[in-house]
Amino acid sequence: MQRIQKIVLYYVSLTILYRLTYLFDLDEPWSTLRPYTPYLFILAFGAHLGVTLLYNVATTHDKPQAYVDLVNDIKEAQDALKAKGLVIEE
Amino acid sequence: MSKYSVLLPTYNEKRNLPIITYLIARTFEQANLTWEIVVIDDASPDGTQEVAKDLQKIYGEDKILLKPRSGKLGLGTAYIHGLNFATGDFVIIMDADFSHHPKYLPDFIKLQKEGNYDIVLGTRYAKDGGVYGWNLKRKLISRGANLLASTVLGTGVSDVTGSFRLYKKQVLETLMKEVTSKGYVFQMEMIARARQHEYTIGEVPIAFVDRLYGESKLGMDDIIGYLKGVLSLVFI
Repeated sequence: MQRIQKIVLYYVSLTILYRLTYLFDLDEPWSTLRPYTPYLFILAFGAHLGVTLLYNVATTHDKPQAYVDLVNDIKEAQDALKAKGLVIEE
Repeated sequence: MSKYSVLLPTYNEKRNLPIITYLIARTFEQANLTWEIVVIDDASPDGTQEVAKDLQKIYGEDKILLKPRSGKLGLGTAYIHGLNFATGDFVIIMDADFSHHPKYLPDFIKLQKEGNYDIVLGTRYAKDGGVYGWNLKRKLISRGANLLASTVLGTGVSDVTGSFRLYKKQVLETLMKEVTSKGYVFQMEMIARARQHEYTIGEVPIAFVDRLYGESKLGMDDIIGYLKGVLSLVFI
């Protein structure tokens, strides 16, 4: 199934669920809020993504040791290849 | 015993190629694995092919396969070209600029064997994965791009744009026949199509060292191209 088909399926399913709620009488404040449900959903989803992004950025690990190890490995490689007759330009 | 082919597309990698080759060879020899490197050079003017020939004398022509092309023809077609000559059961794609360290390859292989995964990818964003050389702005852009692609495409992997991956050879051949994108979007499309085929994907945390030499530049054109690319993948 194409991704667009899944997205349309999600949209149709959520729309049906939303419309079904109109078969029931709701107390306040839910009755007043009901017409705004789609917008509240979009807002909540956007907020979720925003928080997720901030969390992801905050938890991206910095790896300074990886740089140190790499520089050492490069030096080892240069020396080993030089011993085999291959000189690498700096 | 399984054999591992590393595809290394190169353009002006005269300085990096011998070092990355040494590191790959060292890793495979220490792990007692059968390996080869397929160098796909796009007519580099800096003498990369001559260096590759020197490496063939050191490691043997059965270990270093030099398969040049007539010009800069793009990464996707480089992989297709290299696949034609790869004799391994598994194919590894990685960058030659030291951002991907070969020391993680045994972890890739071990995970693949444990779960019989069709694809194993290196992730910067999960478990103990990480980066060196990214400031806050770069992290924001990269994590944002990854979140956008993951959410829109529903790929279910933590690092959608990473290019350090191990594939079963047949899986890579199948995907390469279908993929049409370029650049960052190419790597995303590989994963999106892999999910459509219901290929299994494992993840290994890696440390990504960005741009050992020089600065990484990301312009507005790249960002817009990326957004267009994600949108196009919704319709595959």
